[in-house]
Amino acid sequence: MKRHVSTSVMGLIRRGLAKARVIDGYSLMELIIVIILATVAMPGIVGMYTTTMVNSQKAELMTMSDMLAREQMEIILADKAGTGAGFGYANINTAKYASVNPTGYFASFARTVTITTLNPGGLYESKMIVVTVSHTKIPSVVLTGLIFNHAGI
Amino acid sequence: MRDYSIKDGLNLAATLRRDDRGHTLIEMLVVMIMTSLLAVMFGQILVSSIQIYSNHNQRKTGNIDARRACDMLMNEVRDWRSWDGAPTATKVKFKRIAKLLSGVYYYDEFRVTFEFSGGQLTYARENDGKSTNKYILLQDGAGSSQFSTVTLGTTKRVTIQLVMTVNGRPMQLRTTVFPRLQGG
Repeated sequence: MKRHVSTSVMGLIRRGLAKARVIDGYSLMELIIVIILATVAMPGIVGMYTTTMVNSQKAELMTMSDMLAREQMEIILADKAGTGAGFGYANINTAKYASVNPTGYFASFARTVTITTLNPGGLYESKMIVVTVSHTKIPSVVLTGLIFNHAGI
Repeated sequence: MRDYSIKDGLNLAATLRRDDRGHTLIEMLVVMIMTSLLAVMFGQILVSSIQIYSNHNQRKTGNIDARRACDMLMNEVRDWRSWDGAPTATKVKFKRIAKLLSGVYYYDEFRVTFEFSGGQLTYARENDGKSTNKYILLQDGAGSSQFSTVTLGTTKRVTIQLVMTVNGRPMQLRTTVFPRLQGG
């Protein structure tokens, strides 16, 4: 003889089981998957800090490049303002500044000067000075200026 | 209406037992060990990141201070008029013109001093002996820094070379300026 349990009682038990699943913990497999995922994500986090360090160094190099470019521009302006042999507007040319690479601590930078005469012989003749400072780790810094053939800058 | 047998009831009881069983000691140990390893690794990353941030911050501050010092020297020396005492590697003192922006330019006797002393770089400005303002441009680490003055042809130039050590690593900046009142 088959004994029966009422459907309503079974329904109550099943609902209880469904609730019980909600408070279940995590299985070992689930935890291991989470740990593996976290381990995989770790290089990304480390990479982020590495990038921060590299960018920090780039900012320093940019500042140094800027200062070296400004230094060279000042030297050229001083030479233009100077009087006597080798100085003055007429002596400002690319050949004069062929070797202006920084040395010592700044030896990793390359510095070049290009001078182009604009409107030569004209009333408003001027020389365009382009100072470029390069470093392998950052974009080049380019400083441009104009000098005219009269007193003052 | 669906009927359930006693067998269904026993299966249900078995399911209940399975759900309530929890984790074994071995499972717990494995998870605890792995979690501990992970915590140590993340902890190290956290410590490293704090150190990186701190070092980066100090170097950035050092770099900004050094650049400001160079800019101040450039701005002041541009208006140089004459030396006040011979310039040395650690001290330059000069008179400069003062341009006041009240719609009128006029000249005043300002004396400006840049001096390296005790690893610091200081900047002082005197107004005809009436008042002196002194500021520290670089707090420390500028031990081997120096000024150099060069006269090429008829033109004087002043170079400042800042040699600093920040976080045990060298940091240098250099710039040159020439007084604008010279030459033609």
